[in-house]
Amino acid sequence: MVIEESPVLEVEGLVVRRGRFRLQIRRLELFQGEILAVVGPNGSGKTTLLMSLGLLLKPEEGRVKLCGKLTSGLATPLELRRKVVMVFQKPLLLNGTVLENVSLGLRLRGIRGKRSDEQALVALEKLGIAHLKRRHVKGLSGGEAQRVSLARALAVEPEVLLLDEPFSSLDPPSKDRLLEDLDRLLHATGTTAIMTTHDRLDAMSICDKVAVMCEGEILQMGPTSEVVHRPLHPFVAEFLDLRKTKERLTGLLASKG
Amino acid sequence: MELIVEGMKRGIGLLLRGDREVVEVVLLTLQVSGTATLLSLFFGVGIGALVGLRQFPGRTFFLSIVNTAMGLPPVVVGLFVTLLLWRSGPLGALGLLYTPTAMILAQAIIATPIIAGISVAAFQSLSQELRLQILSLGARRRQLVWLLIKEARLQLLAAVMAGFGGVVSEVGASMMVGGNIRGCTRVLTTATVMETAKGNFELAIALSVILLLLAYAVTVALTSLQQRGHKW
Amino acid sequence: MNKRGGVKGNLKRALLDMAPERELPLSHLLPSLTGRSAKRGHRMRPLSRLIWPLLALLISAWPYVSSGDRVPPKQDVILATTTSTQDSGLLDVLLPVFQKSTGVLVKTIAVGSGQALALGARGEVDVLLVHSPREELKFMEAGFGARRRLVMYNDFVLAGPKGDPAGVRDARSVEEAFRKVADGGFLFISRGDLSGTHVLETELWKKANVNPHGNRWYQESGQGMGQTLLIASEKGAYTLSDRGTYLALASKLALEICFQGAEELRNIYHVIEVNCSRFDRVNCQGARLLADFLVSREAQRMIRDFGVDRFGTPLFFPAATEQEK
Repeated sequence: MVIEESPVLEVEGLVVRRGRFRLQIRRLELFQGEILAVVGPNGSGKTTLLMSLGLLLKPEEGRVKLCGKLTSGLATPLELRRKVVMVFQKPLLLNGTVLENVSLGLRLRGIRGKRSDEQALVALEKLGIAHLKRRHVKGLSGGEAQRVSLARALAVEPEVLLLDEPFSSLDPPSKDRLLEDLDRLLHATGTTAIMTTHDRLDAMSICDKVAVMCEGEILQMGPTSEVVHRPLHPFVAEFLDLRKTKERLTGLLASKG
Repeated sequence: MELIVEGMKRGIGLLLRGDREVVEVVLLTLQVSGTATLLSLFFGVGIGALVGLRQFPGRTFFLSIVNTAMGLPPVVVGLFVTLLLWRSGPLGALGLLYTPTAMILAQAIIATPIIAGISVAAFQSLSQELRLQILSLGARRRQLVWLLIKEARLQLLAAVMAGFGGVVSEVGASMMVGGNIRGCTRVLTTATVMETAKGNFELAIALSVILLLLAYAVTVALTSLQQRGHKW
Repeated sequence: MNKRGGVKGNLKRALLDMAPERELPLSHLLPSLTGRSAKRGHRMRPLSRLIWPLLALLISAWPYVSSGDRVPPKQDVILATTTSTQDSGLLDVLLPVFQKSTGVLVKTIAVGSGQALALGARGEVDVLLVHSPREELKFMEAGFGARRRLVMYNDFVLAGPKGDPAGVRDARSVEEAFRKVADGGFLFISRGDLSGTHVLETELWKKANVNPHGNRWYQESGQGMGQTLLIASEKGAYTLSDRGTYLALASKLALEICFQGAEELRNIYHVIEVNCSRFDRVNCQGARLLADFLVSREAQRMIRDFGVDRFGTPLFFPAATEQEK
């Protein structure tokens, strides 16, 4: 028996213009619980795509459907718009304590006081920074701030979570740790997520699907293993090619013993 | 020099004794300048949010007008408001000339551009992405504006203090539209000018001292509000 | 307050209309802000945060609440008078009595005679109490005034530096006194503001056949009598002043009265009711009441007694019963 599942996120004929840049997505589908990585070089339109999916941009042409319903950028009814949360590259925390920041989304939705504090605390615990709850945001390290930003988004339990290069400002050890935690977290809660990154390794390690972008278009999108082993486009092949990395790593390990 | 000391002593004495006329003048000063500042806060921050957070055709031109208006000579404002409120003027039917309301109007016109100009800079200095992030977290537009106001609190309160300082200290417009009428439109600045003109220097200094104390008290309150919770 | 909101509200709306949501390069990234009215009083704000604005509102509203005897604007009378009259303090004695007996609030604005007459000629004020006879007659001829009555008089004096270097004291007439100042090039400070004092001074120069303008020794202060006297005192100059203001400041001045008593130096005050058939917003009734009061026996008595305890001599002489000269 085949259960017809409708995609959580559906894009058709999307065209977004931003200055001279033009984003064009013919078709994109994302189902419940999938984690999609959008990779590509800088300037390929990853952030623009994410903002369109985050309903922060209204497309010139085409449609974005969330949970089966048509959207229209910021004019989308609040109820629907609140189902998708985007986390930006920089933590962008507001003046105040960690707890105040993390509970922001909840307070915006009318949940206040003890209830919001409790829910915020749950999110903090998921990201392992519950001990920072009373700390003022000015005293946080880069990694800690990024986790606060993520906790803030997770606290409202969105249907779709969009992460714009979440690891770019982190040092490698912090990144590895966060990567692991996110992996676990997203799969545990079954959250549908899209993550942009220019590091293909990140993408491939935790994402089920990957889309490779170049100059405003998606060159190929599909299950990670498929795209990696059967690239349909030379650019895709080159971008996802890990042979050089493997050679370097092997060489490094050999020389250092 | 001793004139100043005598004046200071007299000023404090007048306040402590609760001299009826002086108290009346002080309260009216507070009422007029306070109300004017509140009104200007409302419109000024509003303009600041409108202009500081979005792009639109003619924005730079509009902003340059606002910034120029920051330096509007109060006397000029007083003159134009008088022309408006004269019985023979367009708003003459309101009978507002020589009333505290007219003074509030004139002072609001003086303070609004000041607050607006600084607010635009305050809002513009907030990162664009911050706005988008807050929206993405599910904020309604007015929730967004309120959060941004809180983020820009340092500069916005500086704007309010600048606005208040500008109007509590001005005399030209207050004199023209108010008339310095005893018990009605006499405020500390107009009273000081009058007493100086009459040659009552000690009293004039006393009134100046009181004005400074008043301005200081309000500013202390606003400054502590501004600095509250600021982390170094 | 609603009226103000209306004017500014429209401006607000015009501003918003001016900036519709457009698809400019970056504009679709930015939220469009419409409907600002909901900005304040948002339910997210904890109560404690409201204390400051509430306090501010309370303080600003207090005087409205506290004053009990507020008279609606229709009944107010706007009296335009000269700074010297107001500075003498006479009105502070007369007006409260008037207000108590009639319940009419008098708003006194002290400007120069020139401005007072100009305001009257526009119907911006209801009553004039001025002392510039020649200008007043022109005013009446032009039909701006309904009634003009004599109230009181005092005199002007020619004050000068101690020692009277110009020897004005020995002059036999006012014109000669002025000529002595001009011929010797002694510093003279004029009001220069078309006030009653200034207008008289101009007439006296004309009588003396002297045109003082353009000379280094003739300076115009453009300010009130008190200020002008202080300037004259500072600079050791001559100036024409009403006796009242001079006496009030005498202790602070390094001047002395050098010439006085001439007929031309008489300073005559009239009360003029502005012609309400000419301007529709003038408070006729109030004007008449005030004018009647000023010439009443009660007021005249107060005028006669005013200043005696402070200066030993009265500052003004009641003249309502005297005939016009």
